[in-house]
Amino acid sequence: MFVDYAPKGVQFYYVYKALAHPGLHGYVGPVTLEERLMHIREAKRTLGTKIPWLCDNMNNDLKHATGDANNSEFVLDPDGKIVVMRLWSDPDALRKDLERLVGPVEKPTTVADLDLKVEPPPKTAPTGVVPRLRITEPMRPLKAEPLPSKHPFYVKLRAEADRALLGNGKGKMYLGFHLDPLYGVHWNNRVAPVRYEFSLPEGIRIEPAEGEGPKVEQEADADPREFLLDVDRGDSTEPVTVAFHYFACDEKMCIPVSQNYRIRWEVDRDGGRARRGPPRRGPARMIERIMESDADGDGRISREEAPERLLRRFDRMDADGDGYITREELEKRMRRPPMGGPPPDLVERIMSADADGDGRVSREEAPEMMLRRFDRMDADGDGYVSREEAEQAAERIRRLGRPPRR
Amino acid sequence: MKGKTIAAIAAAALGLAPLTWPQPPRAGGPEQARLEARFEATGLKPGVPFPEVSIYDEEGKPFHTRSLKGKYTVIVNGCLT
Repeated sequence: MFVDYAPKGVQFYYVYKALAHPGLHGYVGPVTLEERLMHIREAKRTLGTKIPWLCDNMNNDLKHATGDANNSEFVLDPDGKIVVMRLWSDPDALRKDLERLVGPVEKPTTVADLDLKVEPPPKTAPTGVVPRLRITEPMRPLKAEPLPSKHPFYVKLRAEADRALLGNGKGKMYLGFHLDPLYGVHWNNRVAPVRYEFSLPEGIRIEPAEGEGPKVEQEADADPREFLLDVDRGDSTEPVTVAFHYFACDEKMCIPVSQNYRIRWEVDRDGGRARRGPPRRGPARMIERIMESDADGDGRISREEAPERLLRRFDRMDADGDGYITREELEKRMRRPPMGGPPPDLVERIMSADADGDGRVSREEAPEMMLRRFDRMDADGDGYVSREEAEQAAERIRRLGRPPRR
Repeated sequence: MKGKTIAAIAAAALGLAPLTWPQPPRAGGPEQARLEARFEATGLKPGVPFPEVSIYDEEGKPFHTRSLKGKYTVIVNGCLT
């Protein structure tokens, strides 16, 4: 759309708003404007888009004024008035809007015409080393304000409360300290574990009010340090302050950092929805399942630890041939483009998006990454990807995929 | 280019996409109803001026939405996750 209509004088903007799903792909919520701008640069890097961005202010005024929707879309006329508004961006509908308002283009650009690069998020140290906290209760984000610090917030606090704590003042609080991948630092497990300590006003009890992270064998990792605490704040609405002590380390530095946050007992409407715990499906889940075989917890799988089914593929997965399969080797392997053909269940994976069970995948049902290739997959252009068209896509991969390396 | 696209289809189908826009809620579900209610509560509708808010451009320079005049403009909200 941008390619077709920017030359016709239409201006396009993405607006950067607070994270919808903090923690997803390791990204955590920015706490300063500069960090939001870093996120915009990261979005441009990873999405490969040339569309300019605007950045909501730190009060999230634009997000609030436009209804807090994650991916809403507006078309404005030259007087600045709304012509079209949608809760969720819809490229097809938007094209029709622009055809009506500005006129059709001779040869509309499809997503498949664009050589959009999709880069992975940054990674500084292994993840999956420290098990994530499993919380079954629904939790809501709390307002956590970072207090002034001479260092950047290499680590971000996410605080959440369960319904009981928000309702009657007595319940569970989640405290998660997440490394910000945009700073490129990791935990240094050769030094003292991370530590938190609360300063509590009278009448508020948090157990434990102090605590430290786990001792980890592996030299470095990037997993969040998480705690589940019991809170009894009675009738008090006083905020609490928590200090967090850690070492921020990368290849060049390793410095001790202490930072403070003020936590209020109020739901943060801009806190988004965190997704915790192991992935439920896909290659990431597969990696988690394989890493469960790491009996001695050293972050790698030896031949002795490998179950029968893994042993058969051990040499192929042990890329550097050192006798161990590491998470990095698995991730690298999973990220490879298809070698020698599509996965055997590719068609089923595509068709699993068919939410209404009509035997075809509509644009509305298609996950975003499939949406980018939707036009190409939808060979007859009827707006749906049928099983037959999914099979054709799989066949194209089968024909053009390179043979296996080993 | 062709191979790249096909590889990307497979990567998408495998769930390897490192970065995605948020997925829309299930049509007709409670989450969608909640979002729609909040969207409608803004009072925004066709014919109404877009909200006037001081924000920033991607370089961090002040930008006022009032300046979105003189041309047709498409605005899409998004983030990294």
